[in-house]
Amino acid sequence: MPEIINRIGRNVSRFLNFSTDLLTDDMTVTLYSGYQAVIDGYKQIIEYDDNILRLSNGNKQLRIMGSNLVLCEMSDDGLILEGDICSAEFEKHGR
Amino acid sequence: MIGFLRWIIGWIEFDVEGNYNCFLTEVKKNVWMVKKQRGILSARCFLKDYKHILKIAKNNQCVLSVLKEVGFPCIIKKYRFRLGLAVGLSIFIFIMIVSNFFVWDVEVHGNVMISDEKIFRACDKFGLHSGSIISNVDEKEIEFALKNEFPEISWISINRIASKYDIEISELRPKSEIVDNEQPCNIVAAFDGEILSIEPYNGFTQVKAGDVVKRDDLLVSGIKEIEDKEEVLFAHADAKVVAKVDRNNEIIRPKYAIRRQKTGEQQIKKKLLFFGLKLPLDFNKIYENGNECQNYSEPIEIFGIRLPIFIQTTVYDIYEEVKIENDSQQIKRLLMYDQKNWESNELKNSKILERTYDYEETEDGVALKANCVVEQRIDEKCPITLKNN
Repeated sequence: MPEIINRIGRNVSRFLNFSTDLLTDDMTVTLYSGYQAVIDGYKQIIEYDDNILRLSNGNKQLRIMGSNLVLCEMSDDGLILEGDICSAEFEKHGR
Repeated sequence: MIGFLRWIIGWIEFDVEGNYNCFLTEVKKNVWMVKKQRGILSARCFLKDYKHILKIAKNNQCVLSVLKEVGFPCIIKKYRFRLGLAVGLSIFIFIMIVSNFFVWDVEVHGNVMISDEKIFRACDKFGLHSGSIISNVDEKEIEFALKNEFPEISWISINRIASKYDIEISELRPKSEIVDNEQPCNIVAAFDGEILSIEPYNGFTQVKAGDVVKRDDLLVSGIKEIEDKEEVLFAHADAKVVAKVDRNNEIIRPKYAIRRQKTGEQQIKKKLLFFGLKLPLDFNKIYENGNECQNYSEPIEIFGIRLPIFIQTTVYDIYEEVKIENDSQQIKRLLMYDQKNWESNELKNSKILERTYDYEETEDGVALKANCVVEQRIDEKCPITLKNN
């Protein structure tokens, strides 16, 4: 989805008090007490190792650091990650 | 749940060597449990997707190696040459399906006076027994037939629960006698005798104490004619009339008797009953003539569930006929025993004043002639039938 449409979607969501992922294709991360993460909206796996996972959706990159990381379930645009998760960072694409 | 479904479909765990990041992006929707252990990446996919993933791996310069195959299709593949297993399983499934069309068990509840065996025998006659075909059993018809067969049944219901039939029965309570106090009747003598006392409660007395009466003589009348008024009065006569009565009894016992007695030997035969089929479990010859037998069936139970498979055991006791000559004393003892039984049954409501016993020996046996003088009630009601003109 082009960035301008995403921006409009975010503004409308803010105005209507919705969650932004409903009207945009932003990547969302839901963390559960540091042992499980549910990620939606990714398009590509850039890097995977047992202590790092990097995903991209075209606009932004998501980097998750931890140890014993396992990709339990995967689909076209979502995945469930389990392990000892230390951090999750969003970076602008290309960094 | 998902794990079980995946097991049913079957999955493969494999190792990936090479540049796997692009490979992972391409196969992301076909794999799960992707992990890196000791520097080696492993993942799982369905059996049917493995070929497709192999192609993608080749395009991405990755090498896959299978670690294990898990699932139901793998078990089938492992035992594909075991024909006996497949045949046995098919027979088992066939028996399980087919046995649902047969009656497994019949139970009776609620019966008190009528025994279970009688009901089962009657149900057998009407087509309801272990092994009969369920579609041939008409519950309503059998209920109707059982009600006709046993008049003591007031209510009956036959219910089917899967392959088992439950028969619920409610029996009639015995009717108490209703005394009709409106019907005119006379009191007549039931026996010949001399009247000792008479207590009239209703009616018109015809006799008094000391009178000798014969059987059917009128003691208390229910009709009275009033000559002055040319009127007839009817009453339901009632009275207590006690008289001295001679009661006689004669019993004869033969000298020789043929007695059947057990030799002590027994023969046992067992059969397997399965849905109406009787399969012998042994082939010993049985001497059935003149032998009494006891039959009982035991069902086979597994974890408390009764199967429609019975072991029927028939025990034959072997008898022989022996001619016995009784001596006179023995016969007299038996005659006295019979006489005592007669007195306790026939004279139970009477007071015995005097007894005389005479024994007479004949060629065939010994006879006992007993004469008892008793004090008993001789009143008997005899209804008067009125014609409507």
